[in-house]
Amino acid sequence: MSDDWTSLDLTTIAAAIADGRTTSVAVTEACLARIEAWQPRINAFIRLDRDQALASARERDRERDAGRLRGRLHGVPLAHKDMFYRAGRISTGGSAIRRDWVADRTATVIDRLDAAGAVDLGTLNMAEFAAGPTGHNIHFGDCCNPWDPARVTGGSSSGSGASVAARLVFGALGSDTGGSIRMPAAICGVVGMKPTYGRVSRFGALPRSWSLDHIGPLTRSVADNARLLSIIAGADAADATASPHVVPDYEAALDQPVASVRLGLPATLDGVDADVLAVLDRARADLERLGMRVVDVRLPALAPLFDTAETIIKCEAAAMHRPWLQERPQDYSNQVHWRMEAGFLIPATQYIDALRLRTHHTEAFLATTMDGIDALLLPTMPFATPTRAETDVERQPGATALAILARFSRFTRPFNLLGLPALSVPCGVDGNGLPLGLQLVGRPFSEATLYAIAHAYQQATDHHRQAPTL
Amino acid sequence: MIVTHAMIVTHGVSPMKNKATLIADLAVDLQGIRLPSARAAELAAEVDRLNGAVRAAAGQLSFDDDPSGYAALLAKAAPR
Repeated sequence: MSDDWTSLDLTTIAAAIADGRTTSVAVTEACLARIEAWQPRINAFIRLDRDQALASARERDRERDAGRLRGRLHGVPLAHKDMFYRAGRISTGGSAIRRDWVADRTATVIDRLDAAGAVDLGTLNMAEFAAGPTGHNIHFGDCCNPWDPARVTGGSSSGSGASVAARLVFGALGSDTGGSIRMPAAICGVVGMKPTYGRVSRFGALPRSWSLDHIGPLTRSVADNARLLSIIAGADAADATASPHVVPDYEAALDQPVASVRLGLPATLDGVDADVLAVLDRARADLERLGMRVVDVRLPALAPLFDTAETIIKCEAAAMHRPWLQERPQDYSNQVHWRMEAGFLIPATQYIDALRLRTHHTEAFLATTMDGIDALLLPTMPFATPTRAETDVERQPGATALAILARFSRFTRPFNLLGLPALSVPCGVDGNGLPLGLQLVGRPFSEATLYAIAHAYQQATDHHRQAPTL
Repeated sequence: MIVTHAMIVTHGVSPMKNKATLIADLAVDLQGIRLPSARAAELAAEVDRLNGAVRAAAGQLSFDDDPSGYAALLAKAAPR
């Protein structure tokens, strides 16, 4: 058994399995050995399905030996945030309330990954009910950053970011309602895509807020990410909000020319730490060296976008959680309970107006900030990664922790309201040596353009090749 | 419960305290939730901020604005 297979990225390992250089069993065993070594340090998994994963791997190898490959993930081990339902299996949502709940349906995205031949290793840690930006979890234990376990992973897709960064899996799905894919991707040093609203079916995924939930992949490279999105994206009869817009071949688009691309960078960015701005400047220079043109743009006031999004999230979360909040309030962490409570007291007319305002906010953003550019550049996180202790609002509530938490989603949440695609890629490190993310925001359904820009950037830099060590 | 102007504006009591009382009353009457007074005050401030923000922006809405227009906008703005 070799542990070396885990050092390869998803597209490389898929090719190695497909052409017989290795087997799915060998790769799965290598992942399981690495998980065993890392799990005590980072707590990335909620459940490890060792026997079932090995059985699936053996089946994929038999199929390959018989000349049959299911698809572009044949035999590749993945794991996902514990909120994507698989019929007959427990899906906790990171909560005490669903600790033993057995799903009665399978998420469309899981069906599509299965059909492409993926091997499912188990379920990954996450914030309770996908509500929390740090990776803390009082029910299953905090997920810890593989670069420094004293620091947060980002959330709510904490296990997805940590497991991909630590090379435990070749890719993972997450969900993003205010930054929950992009923040852990940035903080753990991996690639995270929040696609356009409706690009990926939400059927069978635990909801946080129906109107703002987005599902997407976290991976080691942009090319890996493009492959996973190609597989999970597209219309779905089970989800009326899933768009029928044609899914491009994202992998084929990776090498499209980027020399004529115009990028927008806000002339001023308030509330961003100096070391983050310095890394952003270097990323700008790298992109310009690739021939892309970077122009000044102006961001709108972000507060109205935040408040509109908050109104929607709180009202939808309060409605869906009402029965449990009445019957089992003690089973919620305080912060999850508190974050949705205002939703019971906001008038329905305000909620409906918030939904109606989305169109106006999006139209205005496309006509102003995005006018004449192909993508907007922003930091994913505005500050260096904090420790778990200083952001632990459950165990040590206080104004300092709350103030830090309030800054997490400054540059991510607006794009959940606007529904625009946003990709976070590693672009350097903070003063403590932890990864920082560069966020690329595009026009609706322009994921292929974002991938092409970010792929060119990754061909010229090596930030995404850095991995933590035990 | 019918909310009256007198419940919102009471002489000699701060507006936010009145709002906290209003929120506590609404919570118990409309939702069956009993709120400690400190929590009612926090929620009053939060609801006030969010309602104010949406109300301030709602001036740009027209009678024909339909929430489903959002998905149509995304589709219309997609690359061809």
